[in-house]
Amino acid sequence: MTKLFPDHDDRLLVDAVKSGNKDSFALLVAKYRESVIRICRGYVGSYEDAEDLAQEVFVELFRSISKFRGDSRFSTWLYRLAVNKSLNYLRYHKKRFRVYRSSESAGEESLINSPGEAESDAPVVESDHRRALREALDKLPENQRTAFILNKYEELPYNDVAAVMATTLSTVESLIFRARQNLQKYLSDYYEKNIRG
Amino acid sequence: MNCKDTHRNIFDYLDGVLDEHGTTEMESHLALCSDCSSRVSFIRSGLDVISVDRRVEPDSEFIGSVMSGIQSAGRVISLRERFISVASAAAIVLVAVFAGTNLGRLATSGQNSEGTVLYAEDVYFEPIESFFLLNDQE
Repeated sequence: MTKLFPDHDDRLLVDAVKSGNKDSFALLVAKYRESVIRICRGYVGSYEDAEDLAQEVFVELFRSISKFRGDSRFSTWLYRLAVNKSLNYLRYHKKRFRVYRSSESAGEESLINSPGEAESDAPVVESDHRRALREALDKLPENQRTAFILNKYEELPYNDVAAVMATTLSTVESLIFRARQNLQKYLSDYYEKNIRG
Repeated sequence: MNCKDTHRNIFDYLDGVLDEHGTTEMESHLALCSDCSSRVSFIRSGLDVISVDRRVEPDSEFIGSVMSGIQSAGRVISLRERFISVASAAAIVLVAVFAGTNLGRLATSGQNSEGTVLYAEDVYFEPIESFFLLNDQE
């Protein structure tokens, strides 16, 4: 999508939005919607939930765009907003919904509801691979998960991940290293408990 | 390389960052050990989900939905809600058509057993003037 708007400088668009031009805001949405949906999806799993959450991110962006001073790149600021919105969404839904996690033993229920889908009362059976990855990501500490999602889902290089997380490059390297080790362990554990039998 | 070493190096192997010697040892072990081979295959498929999830095709109404959200004091009508409201409207229309058809059938079968259609001129209506006269008298 970015390729469609090579000549539009984000700051010019932001300035236009600040002066009341909503068409410029629509261009920003068109340019960044896919990236924001991808980031949100890394947190929530379900595509529909990610799309709804991304819409809320853009509405929040519109409300707070006057606060953007241009100290960082616009995309950095927007991605930070997407990360915060996603984390708040997860915290809220963790409290609100009962989540059936994969069983500790073979005979127990091994179904998991993603946050938005839990509303329907019908647990959704995901594929083992998807469920294993989702459970593993959910177990990661927030900062490891954020670094991993920005790097793997949005394919941001480490220095851009550091900018979004307002931290140093070495911290991001360390976070992603630990995230990978933990994911390897959690996926392996899942295999032991649910697949290997 | 034994099973324990294999388990420790799965991510590096899958990401292609294991050195040449390590990769050769890993592959030799995987060729002999069906359990490790199955484990690596499972984890590879788990990580492949990320590539699938990266594919994004936003709904054609995405921008419109955001723009209407910012115009209605931040309340975003999600794409699902939009779908539900359109589906509800369609359902109401269907129910109304169905009910209308059946009520009409009931009315003709009950009150007018001969099945004849009554036209306006067949029905006696009180002249509207009499209504005004009555009200004036009160």
